[in-house]
Amino acid sequence: MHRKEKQVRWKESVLFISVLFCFLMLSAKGFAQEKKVSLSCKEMPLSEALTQVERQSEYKLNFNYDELSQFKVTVNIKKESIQNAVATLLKGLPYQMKVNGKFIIVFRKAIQRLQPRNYQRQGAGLTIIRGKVVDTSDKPLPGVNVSFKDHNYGATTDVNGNYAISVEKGGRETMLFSFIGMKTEVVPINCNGDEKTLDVTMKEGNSQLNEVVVTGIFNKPKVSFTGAATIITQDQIKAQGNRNLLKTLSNIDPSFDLQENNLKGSDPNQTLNIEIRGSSTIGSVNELQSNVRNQRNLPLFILDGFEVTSERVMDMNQDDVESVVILKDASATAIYGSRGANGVVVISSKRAELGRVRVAYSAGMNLEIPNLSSYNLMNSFEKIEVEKAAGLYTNSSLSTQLQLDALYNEHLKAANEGVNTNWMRIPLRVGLGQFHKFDISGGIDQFRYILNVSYNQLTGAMKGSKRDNLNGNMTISYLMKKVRFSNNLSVGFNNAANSTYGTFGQYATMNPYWRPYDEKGVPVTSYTLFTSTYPVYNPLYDAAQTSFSKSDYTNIRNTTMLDMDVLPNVKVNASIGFTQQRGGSDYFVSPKSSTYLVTSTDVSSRGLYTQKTNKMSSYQISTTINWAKVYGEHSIYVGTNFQMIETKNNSTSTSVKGFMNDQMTDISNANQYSGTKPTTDESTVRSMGFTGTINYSYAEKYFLDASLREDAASSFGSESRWAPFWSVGVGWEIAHEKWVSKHLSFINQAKLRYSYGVTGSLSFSPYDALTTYTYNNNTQYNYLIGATINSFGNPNLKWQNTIEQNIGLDINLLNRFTLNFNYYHKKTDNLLSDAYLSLSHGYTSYKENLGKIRNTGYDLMVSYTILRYSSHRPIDWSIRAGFYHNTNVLVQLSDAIKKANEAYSNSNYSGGTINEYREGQSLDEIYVLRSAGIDPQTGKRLYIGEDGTVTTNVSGLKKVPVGSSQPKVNGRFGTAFRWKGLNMDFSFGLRLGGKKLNSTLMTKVENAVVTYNQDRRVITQRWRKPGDITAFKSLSGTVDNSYPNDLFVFTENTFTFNNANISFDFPLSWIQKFGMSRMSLGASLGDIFYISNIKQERGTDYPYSIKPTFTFSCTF
Amino acid sequence: MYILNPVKMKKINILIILFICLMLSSCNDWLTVEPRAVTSKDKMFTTELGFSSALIGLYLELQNVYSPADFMMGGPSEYMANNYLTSTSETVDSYLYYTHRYTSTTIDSSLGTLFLEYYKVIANCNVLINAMQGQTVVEKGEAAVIEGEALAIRAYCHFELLRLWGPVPTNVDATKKYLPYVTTVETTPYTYITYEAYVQKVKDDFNKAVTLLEAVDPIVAYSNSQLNTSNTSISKYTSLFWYNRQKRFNVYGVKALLARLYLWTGDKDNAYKAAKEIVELKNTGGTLKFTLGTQSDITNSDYLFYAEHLVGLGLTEWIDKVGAFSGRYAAYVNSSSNLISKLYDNQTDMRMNLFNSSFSYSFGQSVYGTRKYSKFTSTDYYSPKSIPLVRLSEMYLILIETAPIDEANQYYKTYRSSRSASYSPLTETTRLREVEKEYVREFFSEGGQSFFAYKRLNASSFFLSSEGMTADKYELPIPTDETGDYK
Repeated sequence: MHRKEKQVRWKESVLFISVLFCFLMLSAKGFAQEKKVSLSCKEMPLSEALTQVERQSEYKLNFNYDELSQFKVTVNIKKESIQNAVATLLKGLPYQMKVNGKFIIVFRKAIQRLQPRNYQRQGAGLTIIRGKVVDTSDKPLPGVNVSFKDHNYGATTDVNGNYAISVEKGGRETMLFSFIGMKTEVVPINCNGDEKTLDVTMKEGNSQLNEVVVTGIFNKPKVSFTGAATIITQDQIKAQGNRNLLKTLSNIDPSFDLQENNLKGSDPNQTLNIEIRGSSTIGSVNELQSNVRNQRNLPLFILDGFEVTSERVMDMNQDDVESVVILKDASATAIYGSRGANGVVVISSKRAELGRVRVAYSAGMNLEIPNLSSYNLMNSFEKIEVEKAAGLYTNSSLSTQLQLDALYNEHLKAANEGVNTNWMRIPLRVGLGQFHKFDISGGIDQFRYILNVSYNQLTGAMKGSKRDNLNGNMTISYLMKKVRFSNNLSVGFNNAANSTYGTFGQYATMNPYWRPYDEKGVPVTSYTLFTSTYPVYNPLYDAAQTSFSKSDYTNIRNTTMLDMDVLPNVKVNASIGFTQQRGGSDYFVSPKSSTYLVTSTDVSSRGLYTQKTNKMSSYQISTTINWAKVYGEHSIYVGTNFQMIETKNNSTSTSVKGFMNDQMTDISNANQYSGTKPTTDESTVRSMGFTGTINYSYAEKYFLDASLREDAASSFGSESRWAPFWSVGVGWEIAHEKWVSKHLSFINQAKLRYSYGVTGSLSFSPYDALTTYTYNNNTQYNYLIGATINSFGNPNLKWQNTIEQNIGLDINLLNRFTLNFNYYHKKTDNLLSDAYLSLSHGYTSYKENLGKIRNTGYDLMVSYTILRYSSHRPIDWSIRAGFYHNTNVLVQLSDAIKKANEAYSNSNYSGGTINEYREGQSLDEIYVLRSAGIDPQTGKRLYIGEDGTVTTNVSGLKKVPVGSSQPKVNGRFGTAFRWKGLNMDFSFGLRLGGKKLNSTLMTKVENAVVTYNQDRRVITQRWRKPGDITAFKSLSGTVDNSYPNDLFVFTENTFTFNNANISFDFPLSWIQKFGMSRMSLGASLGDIFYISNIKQERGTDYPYSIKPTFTFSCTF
Repeated sequence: MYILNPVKMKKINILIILFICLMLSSCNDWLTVEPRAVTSKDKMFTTELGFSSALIGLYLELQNVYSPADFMMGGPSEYMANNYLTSTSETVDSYLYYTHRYTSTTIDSSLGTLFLEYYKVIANCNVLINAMQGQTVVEKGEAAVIEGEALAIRAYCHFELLRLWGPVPTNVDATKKYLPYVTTVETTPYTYITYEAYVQKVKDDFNKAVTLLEAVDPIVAYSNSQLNTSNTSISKYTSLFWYNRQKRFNVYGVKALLARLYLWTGDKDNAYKAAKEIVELKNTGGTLKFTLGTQSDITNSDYLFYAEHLVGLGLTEWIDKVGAFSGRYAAYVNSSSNLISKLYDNQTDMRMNLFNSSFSYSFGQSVYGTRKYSKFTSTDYYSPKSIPLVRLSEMYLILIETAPIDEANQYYKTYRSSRSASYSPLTETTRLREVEKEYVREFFSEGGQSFFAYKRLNASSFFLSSEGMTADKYELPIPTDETGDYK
């Protein structure tokens, strides 16, 4: 039977891409004992009938639901084989079927082959053109339509992708190769012989016009898109293992710049700070030393058209993501108007697909193994030796000397007894978490759905720290002829806790000769610290108390969408989305905590409970009308959109104190407020925007792209409510030029792009434009209530404007080498900052649009396919690299910011650098003193004054800029390898050229107080006696902390192994008997190593960890 | 292809245009969002309570100026009059004030704070006064009180600024622009004006306030004992807004401030007239509206003689603006010998009882601190807790200084006897010096009143020290945060 069918020549359109899949995967032959099917129906849609017989059988049917549902059938089938049943159903209809293994393909019957009339009439002879059609991975493509542009007949490729077609000899013809899901190939050919051979490689993707860049508002045609965007597919995300999406994106694209946070290490609960193309805002005077700036420069996250928080993105299951598009330049982000200046990350979640019910389950384990390789601490003997050398055991008073002698003996005795406590290990563990995901999807006819539930447990490397996420998703869509209705409901539960062991850093400072526990195994409360009157409290003592810090939230999001094809070429989309998030945090300090032992607080004030509740709700209404049309060589796309958004935030914080019993940890057990009454932080922001966009392309060679958005927001001042944002882009596809396609045919793509545009950002609090009064409820005046002016509003307050230019180049050679390059120049104007008011105004500052910041930089992504998958060599191997560089300059600052910074320019902090902003310098510039090193005679640190004088006195010395902490090059490398079912992916990171203060050298060597445990370099590298030439100051002597200086600032060169992922897909033939269509096993390892020329402790508040993950997944 | 017919197209166009128009007209309302934790200025002035609360807010702002931690009540203003003892360390602010050297950055910054706080009250006044124009929600009588008091507070703050940063009134540079008199709310710099123009504006505002208040102020028809209450006992006034006039800028308080202003500008006739009016004020029953304090008040722990308060600033607790600092004894001291011999001329005077000898503050001698504010605690329920901004005794002192000598001696006698102090008639030659001394005796620790008396009279020395004075030392430098580059 098979043989017979093979002889049948394939000619006509095959309806599904899946056909290809079926042919490749199925080699199984013959099955014994097939199930019989029955069906009795009247006027049933054919697709429904086919589905019903399919369900009774073990076969899988492939057919076009939409097309076949037009036919109504009336049959009465009783206990027939599936083949016969299908044949019966198709009787009289222009369809035929083909059986291949367990698959049955239903496709349109061969249309009566049109005889080339010319040939019959003229008999001038024919040219027979033969060839093979393959896809980019050399797999033959069956069912490809082969035709001539000027003749209305054609042929179809066979199972092996071969075709033969004839045409009148002598002419110059244009051949068209088309296939669903593939880009149509247009090949000119001279028909001047009897036989011609023409092999064609077809590229994936829909026909070019349908290929789009998802921008969250419009799906712009990709071919004419002139913006800078990185498109990340589901496969790329999957190759990164089970990470949070933000980390995954930064592992793929270096310009998605996840800022390193050395304090927080691998804390699962840290907020991640991201910048795309640099910072464009600095915050107000009061925020200069805080990290609010990072929050203000976060890109906008859009999930299925609606804004979401970065926290929510971090907590979502990255398996639910279909694609992520990172929009970078104005041409791409102008449609987001006043929200677009920091870049936009558009996330599309998976859409329901047509097909049988598919059940998938995956499960796995997340491990967090603490990585302490950056620590280098002293052991007990070394520590005692250093203490002695530093003179800690000597005192001029005899009685104190006796005490110190006793203490020395005690420490030495402990060391001799083998006490060498590795304090850092105590609060740590191998965090073991699990995850599960359960997924059902499918669709019949008009109705499609996805239901999934996932649970991801992240257990941190510090005991007690965790972050659990439970996410549920339900997507349904319903199709009518011209209307598609879809609804997505997602619910997320997050539950997080911070370690009860406090900050990690304090363990690293505990002396190794101290015993952490007494004989009974109870943590020792405190230790004597030489002559200090205050003892050192054991952090384990606090860890054993009832203190806690935890948070949780529930997020519900619903999106309803309606797509209509109102007219040919016109599509209308209307959507309404709603999000609500409720959550809170609880922070409790036990009354027995050591803080109360230190300060001898009144018993009735001990213990602290701070409870916060956060409520966020937001809705968005959006309507989009698209119109696309092709007129010969011209194709035009026009889109308009209207959006209304309201976001409300409310958080209330209550702080109480006075817990009499440390076991009674409920907030109600407190006896008084700590500080004042509860406080509320509230904001409502409303905005609306009208957007229009137009794309034009001529002959797929020349492109024009323009967008305009008119935005209005409640947070703008009443005097400047409407803000226009716009962009214009042009593009040129050189590869489509004749001279290139003729002579340089290896160039598949060479697109030059340029864009210019204005976008905005709303980096201020929503009520800054208003003059507000606050009622003073605490104080009454003569039994009357009073209200005073709170802030000086500025009704002229505007959005920040960012003018951005981008030049880009996209190259694709032989479908093996790709390159995407962007150079940008971004100037932020109207920078919102505090304007200084003279005192006679009664208020010292108000918000004003002052200041300018300039960001310039480039990003480059290249990839090369070394080996390509083919039937005779099932290996696929590619390498990739990405580079990113950004320089920013503070062009102009407001007087208030300058004044506030002047105060910092003379101040020093021994523990690290102080943020400063100076005109003409980078935002990330490091300002330190200049040092001449250590005086060999005295062991004191010497500083260099402005006039070159050398001094030990820092007062009056002005700090100098020594370079920006942003790396000159932020790079990513990676390689992906596939051999049959085995997939491997490795990614690496590189940071070169940024300046960094080595804070370990600063705080744990130079300024190390050796009463505590410190870095081992203290032993050898500190000055001890006159004549010593050392890098670090005297070991003994009074505490005179050195301040950050240029000798502690290094140029960072760091190489990291970010991720390794190995997975194995079991061959279908093995798993089919279990009824599975896919089964895979995977293992990945995250944050594997970090090699840097700067030797400093990493993860000082929370350690870094290596993160192995093991996954099992299967699909039925 | 299916083509829309032109008529249909038009209809759709019209519909779209209509829709957009509708959207745009309503969207401005939609885009105006009111904060909930605070109240926007626009919303504030849509209710009567908003207006009255904004007025009460002025007193709350004024409390910052007279916070026990700050310049006026916290010491500096008294150090400048050399009333308090200080260490003689060059790095101690109090000593720099004592010796009238205002160049240190900390002094510049605390003077800046005071300057800012006065102008902050003024800014609050201006927003309220502007909102009063054309308002319709507050009934006329109450509106007159609100606007009158706001004008009075604005004038009072400007007057205080002039007394601090302005020149010695007999040493005015007629062309110099001393300070801005602020009546608007802007972000652009305010114009500095001459002494004469400035004084005129203070006068105008006070007079306007008097005009507004005179007709409606309950203090005219009712006695203070009726009005100082927490119950709405008078049927005409059902809101507490109308009560406790002694802690508000009432019409007589404003008139008294005018008397102070006249005296400051050397207009003795008007000062005399205004002060006399206040001193002779009577209730409907014939009793005096304001009475001088006596020893029995001290016995009753009324150390600040509330019955004398023409305008007082209420404070719930002396410590409430300072935090943990136990400042209710106003820990500022002078030596017993100074007080007894230099100030009270070795005579008995009940005001000496206002000093608390329990202080053993170390300047190498036995010292005294004032206990004027010792009843400003949360447990002293019946204490009025009012910081006097202008008192009846000052009116007496104005009369003693400006009345014909015989009449002046009558007032002097009444005044001295109320203070349980001996009386010997003044002569034209002794009276100015005695009056100057009475300011120090009377207003010790009362926000620099004695310094202002010294300044007005351009005294070349102080009673309690041997520090020499010149006119320029009486004039504070404008804080650098004000001058900056923004003037």
